[in-house]
Amino acid sequence: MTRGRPDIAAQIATLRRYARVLTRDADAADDLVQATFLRAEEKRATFREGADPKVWLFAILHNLFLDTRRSMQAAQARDRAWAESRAAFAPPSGEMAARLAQVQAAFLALAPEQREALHLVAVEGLSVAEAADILGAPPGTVMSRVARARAALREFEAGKDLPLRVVGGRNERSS
Amino acid sequence: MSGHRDPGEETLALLDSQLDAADMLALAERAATNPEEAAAFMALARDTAALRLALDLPDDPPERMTAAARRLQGRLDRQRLWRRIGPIAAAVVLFASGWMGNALWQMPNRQAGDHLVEAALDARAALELRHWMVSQPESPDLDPLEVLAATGVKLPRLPAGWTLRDAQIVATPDRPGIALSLDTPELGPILLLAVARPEDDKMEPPTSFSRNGVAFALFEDSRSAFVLLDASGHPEQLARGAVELLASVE
Repeated sequence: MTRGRPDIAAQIATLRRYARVLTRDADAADDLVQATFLRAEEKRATFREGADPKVWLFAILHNLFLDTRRSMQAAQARDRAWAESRAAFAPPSGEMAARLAQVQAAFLALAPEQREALHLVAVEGLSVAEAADILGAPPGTVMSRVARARAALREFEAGKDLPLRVVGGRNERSS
Repeated sequence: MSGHRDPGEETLALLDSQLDAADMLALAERAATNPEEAAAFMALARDTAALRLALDLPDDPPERMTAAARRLQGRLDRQRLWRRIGPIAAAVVLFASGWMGNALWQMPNRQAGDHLVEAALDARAALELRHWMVSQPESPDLDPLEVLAATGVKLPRLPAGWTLRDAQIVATPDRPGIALSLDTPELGPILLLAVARPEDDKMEPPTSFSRNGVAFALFEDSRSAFVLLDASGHPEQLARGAVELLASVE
C-alpha cells in the first residue's frame, strides 16, 4: 500500500513499547528509542517512499538492540532485577487488573524470540512477513514462535505456572 | 500477501479494521456457522485485547525523544521533497547551464536520441496529414490510464493554457508511442512524442537543440522518454516548455 507523508511522532509510543518488550527496562528502552531515531537519521536514505515507517523503525530498533546489547552478564543481571526496576509497563487497573497483571508477567517471562514475535504480530498488528523482515528470521520461524508463545500464554490461562524462563539456559537468546 | 500467515493474522486484521469486505465476510461466515471457530476467534480477540491493555505505557516520552522524532520527521520530509523535485531541479539546472540553446548535439546516447528525433518527425508528418484530411478527424480525446495500459507511457499533465488538438498512437523503432499535437500560449503549435523506456535503463540528461530549422527538446523520467518538437521555435523556449512538462510528471 502506498502511504503519504510518514508520521514519525505517531511511532513514538509503539517504539517505546517494543523497546520495553525487548529490554524489559524502562530507562534502557528509552535510550534504545532515542538511539533508534539517531540511527534512522543516518540511514534515512534507506527509507523507501510509501513504505510503512513503523516497520522501518522497528527493524532499526531491533538491529540496534542486537548490536548494542550489553554483555550476557549484564543482561542476566538485568533479568534478575527487572521486576524491581522502574516499571516498564503501567500497572493494570480496573476490574481486570489482577488478570492483566498476570498476562503482563506471563508475557514478559516468555522466551525472548517468542515474546518479540508475538508482540509484533499480536500487539502491533503487523503481518508475519513484516515481522519476519524486522526480526531477520524466515516467516515460517516467526509463525512457529508466535504459535509457541500463544500456547505458552494459554497454558498460563489454563491455570498452569508462568512460562519458566531459565536465565542463560535454553530459553535465553543464544547469540 | 506472503504465503506465510499466522492463523490469527486474519482475526487480528479484522480487529484492527484492516480486512477488506470480502475477507471479513469469509471470516464472519466461518465463525457464524462453526461454533469452534467462533470460540477460537473470541479467545484470540480476548488474548490480544488483554495483551495490548497489559502493555500500556505508564509515562509520556521524554522531551529529548520527541525532539529527535521531530528532527527525523524534518529530514524525511526534506528527503521526500528532494526525491520528487530533484530530477526536475536537475533538469532546470542542466537546461539553464548552457545546454539551452546549444546547437550542438549533446545527448550521450546519440543513437537512441536519433531514433526518437526521427520518430518525432515521422509522427509530426502523420499528424499534419490527418490535420487536413476530412475523412481522418483529429482526436482530441485522451484517456491517460488507457494510454498507460496500452503503451506504458505515463503522460504528464499539460501546463495551464496548453490544449490538446490531436492524439495518435505512432510507431517508433522500439515500441509504439503516443504523439500529441498541442497548442501552447507561448510556443504556439508543438508536438510531444512519448515512448515508454525500461525503468532500469540509465536516464539520459535532458537536452535541447536545433536541427534543420526544427527545435527539439529531449528529456526523460523514470518510465518514459519524451521529445518536444517545434517546427518554428527556438531550443531555449522549447527547453522551458520541457521543464514545465517535467514538473508535472508524477
